Amino acid sequence: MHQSLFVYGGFRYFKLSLLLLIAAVVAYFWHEPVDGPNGGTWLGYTLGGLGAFLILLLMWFGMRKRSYKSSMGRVEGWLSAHVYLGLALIVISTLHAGFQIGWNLHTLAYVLMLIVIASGIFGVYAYLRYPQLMTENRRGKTLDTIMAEMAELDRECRDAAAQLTDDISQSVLNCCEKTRIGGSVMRQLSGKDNNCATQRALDEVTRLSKSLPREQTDDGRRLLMLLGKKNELVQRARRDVQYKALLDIWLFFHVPLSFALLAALSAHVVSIFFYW
Amino acid sequence: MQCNVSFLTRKSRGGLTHRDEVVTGGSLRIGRSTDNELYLSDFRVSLHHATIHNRQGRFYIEAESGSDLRINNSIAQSARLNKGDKIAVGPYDIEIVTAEEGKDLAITVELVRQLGDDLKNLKERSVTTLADAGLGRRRMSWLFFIVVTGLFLALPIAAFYDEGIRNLFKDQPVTADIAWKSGDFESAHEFFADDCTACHQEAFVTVRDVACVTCHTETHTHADPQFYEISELNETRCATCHKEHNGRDGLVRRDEALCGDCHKDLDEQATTELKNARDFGKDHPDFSATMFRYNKQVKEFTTERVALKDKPREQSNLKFPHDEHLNPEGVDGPGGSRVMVCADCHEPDKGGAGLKPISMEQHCAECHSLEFEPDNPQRVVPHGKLDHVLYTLQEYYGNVALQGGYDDLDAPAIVKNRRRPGYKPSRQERKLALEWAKDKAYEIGEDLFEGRVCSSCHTVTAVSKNYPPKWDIAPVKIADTWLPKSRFTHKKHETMDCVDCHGDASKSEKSEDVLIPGIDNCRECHAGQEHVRNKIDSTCVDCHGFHLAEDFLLGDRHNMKTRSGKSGTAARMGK
Repeated sequence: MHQSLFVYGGFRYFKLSLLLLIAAVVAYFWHEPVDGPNGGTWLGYTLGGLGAFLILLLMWFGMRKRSYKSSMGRVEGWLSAHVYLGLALIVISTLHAGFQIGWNLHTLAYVLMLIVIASGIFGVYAYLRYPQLMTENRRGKTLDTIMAEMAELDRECRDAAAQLTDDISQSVLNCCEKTRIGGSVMRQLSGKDNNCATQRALDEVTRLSKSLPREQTDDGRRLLMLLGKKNELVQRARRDVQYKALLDIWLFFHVPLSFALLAALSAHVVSIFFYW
Repeated sequence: MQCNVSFLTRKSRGGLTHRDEVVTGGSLRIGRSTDNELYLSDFRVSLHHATIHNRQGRFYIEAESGSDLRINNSIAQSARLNKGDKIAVGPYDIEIVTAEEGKDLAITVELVRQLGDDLKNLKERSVTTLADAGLGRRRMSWLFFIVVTGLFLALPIAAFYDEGIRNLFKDQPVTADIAWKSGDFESAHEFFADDCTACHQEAFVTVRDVACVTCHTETHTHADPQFYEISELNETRCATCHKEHNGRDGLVRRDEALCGDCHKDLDEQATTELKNARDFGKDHPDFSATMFRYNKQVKEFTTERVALKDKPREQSNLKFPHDEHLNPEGVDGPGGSRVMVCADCHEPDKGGAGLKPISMEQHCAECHSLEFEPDNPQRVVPHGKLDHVLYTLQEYYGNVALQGGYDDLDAPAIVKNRRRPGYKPSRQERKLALEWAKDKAYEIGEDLFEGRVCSSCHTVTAVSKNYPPKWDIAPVKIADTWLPKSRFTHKKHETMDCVDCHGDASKSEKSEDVLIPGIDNCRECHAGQEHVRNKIDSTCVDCHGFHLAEDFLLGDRHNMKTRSGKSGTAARMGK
């Protein structure tokens, strides 16, 4: 997928964006407005209009990708254009502003735009990196099957620990009843659980199994093997959740902030003409 | 002890099945371990959970250390058992029931809390997507959109139309005055920076000049349409050139186009003596000096502009040869010969822009003494007061004549002879002496005016030779600046030598010479707007002002527009 994103249509949108970018930069340096470069010159209005149009176009991608019936270009093309035009927008809007920044609505819109684009850049990176890592981590399984395996291991652990000491059985019971995958946003993103019941059970059983009577050492060894196997599955499941979270998290900035940007952009445009 | 144990199982469709066992032993041990008399396989039961003892026909239960036991819903470590008691052991409920004949004890055992589905429970405990963890794109999108629109669009607009809201949010960063401000003000406008409506008086309307003339009524317009019939001349809005919000010193246009747009072909647009100009470096007429012309008939000065290339001759009525004064071998003076320099007479004024006026007393009198009596060089006639000169002379020589002893062969004896102390001249003698004094004053006056003093510098005409004699001195008017349409600051050029620009002064024999350099001299250092290597970029406004109309102010223009309904220009042009 990511291959086609960049090379789509023979780098069609890369070329278009490059052309826009070069045209904007050349115009900026050729144009010498008497009051210095700013958004209020004819070039400033032109670049501002172009920038606003691009923002609307880029946001329309969210509509286009949901509209399966639409015949307005292929989604791959839209995505390719979304990425390249989004990057060109950094330069176009900066030149529109003539590098003037301040504590005002206009700079708020600019900063929101930069954050949206930055999150988009992370999104592109995420789509290039994490799907592959996810595939490698899952080893042909899905999170559901990994969790089903964990549940099966729970049963086996209980069997193995049935005649072992109450301390061990309590650890195993905790491991079965308290192990969890994912959780809060931070826990999903970190891929870790510092209070992991499985890890704790593994540690405790490792310690307790040393003092098992001779006739129970086989059961103890089997239990340790099962817990180790479960622990490995738990790590893998958490990593899977982590990759998925990393693959998704930028969208939770990208999309809401792009709507904040849309609002700030509208206010920016209205304010310019309101106080013309 | 013989105990009847009945294991109960509830069916899914209701109803109850049971499996009975008889357990025999000294006591009844309960636990997960297979060596217990009552073996409960569920993992949640301890290996050795509790034991039921028979003490003389009475039954007691005791929990094994660390195990949890609930008897009739109360936690206990031990208890005596009676019929109907319910004991919870892990997920099992054990109830004491009536024992059959021949049995010591009868209990029922039921697994009431099933372990449940591991996978289902695991999934319930786990949160594996960000959306499930509470993040919602749609919700956040709406929230952000509404907050930003409300704070930065709705609120400023509401505050513009409603004074109550305006006052409520005054000085808050969400008001238009702060949030919408697109850049710093020109520093002079900073004092009303917190009120957008001072300039932006109507929504969606560009800033009108009416806002500017609230303060700038006394600012001159560019040109008076009475003299320059160009209707567009005064139609341009102030804000066309004066772009606000571009920093503290960004309000004045400095580009050539400000002037060049019209002045490049001004002759095609209006009847004017002004010459076309577009760029100082490339397209600018030679300088023309504005000089004084003296009209002898009416004895008044008029001004005239003459291009420097046409060798203008100024009529200041002063005789002054620069070459003699700047003689490198020196000028004879009372203290001997002295080499004079420009700065001896031309001193910068306080601001440094121009030069102080030349004054006879300060700059000339040291050499050009107005003394009239060689025996008394301290006495001088006053300068500049024509009538007083003769009075001074008459007074002086009257005094001399009455005192006597004056060394003059032609004088009468009463004037010539020394007097004895106490001698009082007769009326006749005094008359004679004063007659002589009058003649002497006349004679000396003639010598001063026409001979050795006044006429060195001034044009003197004898108006009447009869007594009292009268001379006329042509008034002197020296140009303060020959290029009044431009601003030239000597201070900014102080690192240069005077002769770099005024080199002709040392060769100038007459004061009629206009000793300023032509445009080529300036262009040695100054280029136009376009940068030239080793030259200073200079645009029109570096030397010229824009608001030049002497008698037509912005306030006048605004009043005319408001009164007549016509444009200010049309009104003033009488159209």
